[in-house]
Amino acid sequence: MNGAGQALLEARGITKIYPGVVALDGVDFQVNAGEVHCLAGENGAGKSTLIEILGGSYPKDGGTIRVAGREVEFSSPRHAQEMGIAVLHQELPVLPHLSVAENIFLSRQPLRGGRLVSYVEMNRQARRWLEVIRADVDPRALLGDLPISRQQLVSIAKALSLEARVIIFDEPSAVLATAELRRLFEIINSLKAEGRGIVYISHRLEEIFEIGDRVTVLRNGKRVGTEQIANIDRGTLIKMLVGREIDESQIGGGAGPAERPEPVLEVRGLARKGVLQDIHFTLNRGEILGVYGLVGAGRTELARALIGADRVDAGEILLEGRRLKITSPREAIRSGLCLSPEDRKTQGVFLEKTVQDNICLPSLKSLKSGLFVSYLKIARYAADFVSKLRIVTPSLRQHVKYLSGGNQQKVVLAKWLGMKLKVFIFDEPTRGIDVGAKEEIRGLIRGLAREGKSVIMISSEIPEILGISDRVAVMHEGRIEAILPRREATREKLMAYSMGAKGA
Amino acid sequence: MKLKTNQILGDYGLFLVLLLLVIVSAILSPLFFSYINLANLLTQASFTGLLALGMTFVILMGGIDLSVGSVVGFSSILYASILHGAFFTFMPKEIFIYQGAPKLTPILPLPLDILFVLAVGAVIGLASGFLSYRFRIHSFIITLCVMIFTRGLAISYTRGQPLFGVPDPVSFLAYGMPAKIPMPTIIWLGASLLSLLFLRYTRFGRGIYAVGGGEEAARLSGIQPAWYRISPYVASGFFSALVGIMMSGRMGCGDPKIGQGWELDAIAAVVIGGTSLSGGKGSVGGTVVGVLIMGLIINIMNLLAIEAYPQQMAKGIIIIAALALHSALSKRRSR
Repeated sequence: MNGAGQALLEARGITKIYPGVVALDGVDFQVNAGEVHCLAGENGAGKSTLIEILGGSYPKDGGTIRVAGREVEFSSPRHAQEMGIAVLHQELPVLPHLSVAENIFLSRQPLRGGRLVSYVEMNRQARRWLEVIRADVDPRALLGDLPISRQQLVSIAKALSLEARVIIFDEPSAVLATAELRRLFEIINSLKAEGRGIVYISHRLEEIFEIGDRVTVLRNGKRVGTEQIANIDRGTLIKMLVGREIDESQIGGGAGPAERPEPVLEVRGLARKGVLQDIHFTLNRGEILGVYGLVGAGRTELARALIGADRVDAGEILLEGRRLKITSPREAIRSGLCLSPEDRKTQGVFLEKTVQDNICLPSLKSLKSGLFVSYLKIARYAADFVSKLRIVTPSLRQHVKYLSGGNQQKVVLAKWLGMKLKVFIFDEPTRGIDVGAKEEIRGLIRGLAREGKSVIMISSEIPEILGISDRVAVMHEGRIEAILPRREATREKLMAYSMGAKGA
Repeated sequence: MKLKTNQILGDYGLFLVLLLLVIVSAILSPLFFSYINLANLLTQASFTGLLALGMTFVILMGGIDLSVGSVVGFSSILYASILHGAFFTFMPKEIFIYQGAPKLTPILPLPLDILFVLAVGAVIGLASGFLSYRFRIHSFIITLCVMIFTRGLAISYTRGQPLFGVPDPVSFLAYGMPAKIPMPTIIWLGASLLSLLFLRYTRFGRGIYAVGGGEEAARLSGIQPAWYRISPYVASGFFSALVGIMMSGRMGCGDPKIGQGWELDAIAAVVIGGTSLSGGKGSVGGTVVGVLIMGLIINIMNLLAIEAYPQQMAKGIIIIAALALHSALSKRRSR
């Protein structure tokens, strides 16, 4: 069925202009029945803008959209939905206080007597759509009580219930772990077999090659090209994406373990009821310890416990042989530990604050002159990091929300670099940022290790983990199943341990 | 099994608090279960209850309405002035000094005068909602301004004087006792029941929850937020005006100064009832219980003959205690 179907959705010459920026410049994009059309591009390339326009969220400034051959002008997301286009947004905008069924049928609830919402009927229909994708989800459960992977399934069920002919997935893998992604791919393949058109957006090349039939690459708001996946290789695609060549094999190459390991952080028997059990590990000076696991394995919980953001029920943490009593992030920072959190936008940076405010916040104490904070010192201090880390921003006073994901992540890093810390914990530092910036972030992390800092690096991307870590800890259901030195760590072992298969 | 107990405590914790207060009240005062006291308690609760009902719509949608007390004052004086056969604005001061029963020649016949005042209340709400939506200003600010303006309007209307002589048909709304149940209570509970059904069983009602839970998510689900954002204020203004009319009937006069601070009682009742101030979560049923809890607290202190000023202190503390208990119970559940 590959790519042979008729055109379900045809966009020609789509242009979108924001004040001062041309977000999309005459982009053509077509989705056929029974194909998976990948959309790739660095952040800021215009992918999101394009799907918002195709999904009816934003009006376009130029070009035409045809659905099944007929020209349409979308007036709202609802209009696009009625025309059979459904968008599954990356940061699933869901209503956590409403039930699964209501999230599926919001504003289209089945009525009885023509007026009143029939919950019985709504739950029945919701269950039917969930069964289609074999999702084991109770339609009556509150959506907010479900893990994000299940929420994704609910969104797919919703798209099906809309009888969508074209389903647009906006970076689903950013929130799913490997096993869940497998499930998603199965579902996508069955949707494809039914003759629906799928648009799949991802930063991960391997996914594009696995699931895609065609790929369209955007760069700086322009279409670089559309290719059959079968006709291109990774190198070509990377070149299309970044406009220059990046040697992917360079992902490897950590600082290498020191001659004589010198323990910096020792964790003994750390436990938190229901999420972490009996965690033991040692982190050496200049070492990068990768932490891999499926979503829900307890990786983020471990990071939060280490810096005192969550209480622990048992266990001890030793820093350079001294026992730490960490009960708050403030104390952790004082002792020399910091965390770059998974949810960058809400926990890593202050979106509404400027670049310099974000960078200087933890170091304000040392940026005073006399009693008061010195803005001169702040500006110098921030400017120093902006140039050192090559943060791309028009000014130090730019609000962080206008920066790309990669640059936001660098701001998080800069925040901690000036603090003379010993242990850096990174929770998914490269999630949702583009290929070029990912490698830059990894480079910065490797640089830290080379300077003798110790790093814990949590990631869901196996190549990244294998590439950067000196050792890899694999978590499963709140435990560390295994800690593997780099030369013993393989993709298969990581997958096996992360799914709880011992002695793989 | 343990988990189940916790869940029950979380879901029905509010009722347990109410039950606890009833038991304590009954023990503390033998008068508590007398018909007169209960009727009095329910009547008092009904006025707060109607304001809290409108407030529930607004808070569920993610806003707040500080103007309700002022709207009560304005509709009270507006209604009385219609009965007096004139819109009195800016008339010489002497007219308002009470000189025996006035001759009533209302401008509008009976049901129309009430409907007119209700419509004015709704329009004030519409203005709050529209301004907040159109100019993207937080409803706290907008309704604070509307509160100040409306109170000023009410007071300038008669230069601060009350207007006496509100006749019987209206006092029935305030004092009537069909089937020995206070009329205000019937109105309150009836309106609450209708609102509960509306919020639970209509698409529009579900839309209010959705917009309160996340406007962008609701928009992407095909809801156009404008009217969902504005209409809760209309409901709130409407119920405030209803309370204003009933208060006129109850006092036998229109009083521009009545209702000061009532918005806070209404907000407190809604929050005690478990509705989240950030929107999207809560229920009318919870608000009804919250209103009763507030009413009980005041009632029992009255029965114990505690003076008015210490009552305020006690009220503040007891509200916090009730919220803390409720929060502790629901936290255990979410564990």
